Amino acid sequence: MTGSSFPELSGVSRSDSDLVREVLAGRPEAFALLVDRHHARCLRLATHLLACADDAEDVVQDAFVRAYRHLGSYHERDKFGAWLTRILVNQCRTRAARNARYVPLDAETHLADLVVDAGDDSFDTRAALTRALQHLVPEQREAITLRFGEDLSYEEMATITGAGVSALKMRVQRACARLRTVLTERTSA
Amino acid sequence: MTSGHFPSDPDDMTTGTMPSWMADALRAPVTSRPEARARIMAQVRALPAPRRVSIPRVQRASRWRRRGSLTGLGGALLTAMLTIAVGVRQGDRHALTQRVHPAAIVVGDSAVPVRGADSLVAIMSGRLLDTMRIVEYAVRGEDLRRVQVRHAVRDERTGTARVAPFEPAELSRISDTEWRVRALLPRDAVAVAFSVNDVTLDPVAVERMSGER
Repeated sequence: MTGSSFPELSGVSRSDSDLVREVLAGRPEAFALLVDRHHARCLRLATHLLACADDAEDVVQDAFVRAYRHLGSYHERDKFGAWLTRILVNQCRTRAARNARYVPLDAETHLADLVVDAGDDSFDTRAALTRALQHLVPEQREAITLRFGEDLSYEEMATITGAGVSALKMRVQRACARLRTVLTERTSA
Repeated sequence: MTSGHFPSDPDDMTTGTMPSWMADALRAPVTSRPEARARIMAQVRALPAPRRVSIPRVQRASRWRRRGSLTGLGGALLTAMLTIAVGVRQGDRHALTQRVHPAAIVVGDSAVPVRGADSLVAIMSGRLLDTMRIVEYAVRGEDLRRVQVRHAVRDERTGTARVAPFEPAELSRISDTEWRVRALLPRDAVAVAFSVNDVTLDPVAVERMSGER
């Protein structure tokens, strides 16, 4: 999509900030590299938060377009990835609130959105994950996904979600406790 | 389903852990439609190019200057007016000092009950009376409208340490050029400051009557 059409933009050594600078200098095609770099991660996060492939695709698209439109207000002292994630999480919240789909999860639909690699014992595993996530409230699901799915520190999570570090730790703790209970019940059953 | 827990960092020791299989599942990539990125770029190309939002310049000028009342000529005029006003005031004071001759002369001693003489502390300490000096204040000069003794000071040089139980006294007009009054002054006062025509003069020393020891 981008690398072949714009060979001068295909260098992987350029940082996100360099690419943002190029876009702001009047070369919007540089944004394609940013999309390439962050699309998969954003889609995974949105899929876990919304549990709907179509919604996730839409929201990720909206987030990128919104990021492009407001690229002028992005400050280089922030990481572009974190800035984009903040936009994405806000978009997910808005979408979830609008559709009232944040809490109910359709396990089978969500499961179909996940890639099943060869040699992966993952179908059962991911089905279990999806079912387990159904038992979490939206804030806990968000915290668990950002903490363990995106490997973010609590400080980064606080920047993205707007919640305090201690509140986020509490959400993660409660989510883990809830997941343990659910899994224990399922195992004993 | 595995039951292992993924290694947690110190933060999570206090918060919570979750099975490693679950974390792996959260990190697993998800399928995306091939046209998704192309669709994003198509939307992006349709938008106007973003421009860097410049940080608003910090307004360094004060509120008065921003409003314009103290800019340029206005500021210069106001400064000049203030300078003139202060100069005139200082000039008035200087002229008054030149034509007015204040004096404070001790004419005797007196004793008055101390403040709070009926208090237990005063009774226990046996200090019921304050010895005061009887001082004759006199101011001579022309064109005097109102003459007062404003305050008394302990230190004539600094003029800062005022005497505490001091009552300002109003001088009475004796003649066209002379104003007088007799009043009590605390013993530790070494100087008094007069106010003539509402202009406070420099303190003058309290003197003893000639011939007194």
